[in-house]
Amino acid sequence: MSLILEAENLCHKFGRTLLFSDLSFTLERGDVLVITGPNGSGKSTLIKILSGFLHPTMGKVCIVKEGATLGPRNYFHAIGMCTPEMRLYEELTGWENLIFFANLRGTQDTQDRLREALGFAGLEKARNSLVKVYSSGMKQRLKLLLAIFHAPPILYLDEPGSNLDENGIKFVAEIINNQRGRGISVVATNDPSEYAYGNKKVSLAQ
Amino acid sequence: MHMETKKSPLRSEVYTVFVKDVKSELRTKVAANAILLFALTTLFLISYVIGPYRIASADQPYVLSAWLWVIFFFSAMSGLSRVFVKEEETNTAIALQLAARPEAVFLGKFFFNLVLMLGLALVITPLYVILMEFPIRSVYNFGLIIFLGIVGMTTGVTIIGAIVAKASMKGTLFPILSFPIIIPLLLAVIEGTSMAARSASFGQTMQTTSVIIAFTGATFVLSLLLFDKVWLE
Repeated sequence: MSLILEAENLCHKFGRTLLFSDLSFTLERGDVLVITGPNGSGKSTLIKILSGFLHPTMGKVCIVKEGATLGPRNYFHAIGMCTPEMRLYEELTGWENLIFFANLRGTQDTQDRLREALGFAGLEKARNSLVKVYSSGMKQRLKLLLAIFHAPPILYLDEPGSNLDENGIKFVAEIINNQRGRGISVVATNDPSEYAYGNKKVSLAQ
Repeated sequence: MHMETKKSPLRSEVYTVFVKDVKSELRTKVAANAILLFALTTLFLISYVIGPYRIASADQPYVLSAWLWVIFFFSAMSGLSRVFVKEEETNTAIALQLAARPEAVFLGKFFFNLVLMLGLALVITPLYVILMEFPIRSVYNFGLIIFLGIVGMTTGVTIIGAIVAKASMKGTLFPILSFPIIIPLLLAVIEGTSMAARSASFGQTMQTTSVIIAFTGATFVLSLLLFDKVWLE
């Protein structure tokens, strides 16, 4: 099954401030793109553009899956995403959040498999606690789990290691390694230890 | 870990969004408290200050119908936009946008608001009829008009709530946008309610009922067609 993510001459401005210009790259199944750059250089903005949440000032993003071109916003079903802006339903438990998104995504799995997924994220013991009492690291693990549990062909991770302990960092590494066999990963990070995940790199300068 | 996914049917997504909103509301009670407290406060204020005896009996069907819908309208204003505003304010909208079809989000939230407003109508209407000694000739017609009016108002207010949730001045914008859109419906339901209070004949309220149904149908279809533009902006 072929999968290509192509960014062509991307340029983005906020008002008169130019974030980046003439950014082009092509990613294929198995690729991990690492986006680096100082704060304010546009890493998160680039993730938003690639995921279809933001229109670039110029240029285009094209996703070709099994020969069919998907336009922006037609590929939400094919995306897994974890960004610092995203939040979970704090008045629901971790388990209820997982079941909610599993039902929306149409995950054909039993509750045992979903419980196993929570165990994979190290959250089995906290499954019935409200998300509002989770630590920031536990919230990050649950967000990462919700980004990958439906096995998306394209995975966007913005600062995936933030707030995570040593086991959490291993969890991120396992996610990215698993994704290599499934599709494309795009990781925006400032953490030098995460640069090694990528086989391709985009450096944004301020 | 590798899980199989198959796009779930629309009705299943609608039900999932609806149940999530009910569960959230039962735990936070933000919207229910807002609309119920507003409605009860206004109702008791009207019944205490005006009461049933300060209105001439010939004017009662018109004036009492108008007051009843004023209570419903402003109660809806105080709580129904929460379903969308909360998603934006708590930054849960992104995950929902990725996982659910826009029409499932709209319908799930519409049904949640509808249940909230019908619940409010079930509490407020009997209290209002008793406290204001509202004379109703046809309870059946009266109930039908209230039901249709609530469905129409909920449709309009839900889509406006979605638009307003994207704006920065949410509190002010909601009633400003709602007022001109809901006005034609309010005029029809007030007329229909007063007719049902005056006459027992279904035929006499038929024209007004048709206007309410047409308005509701048009608003509902347009909302469904426009919602993805509003939701994904």
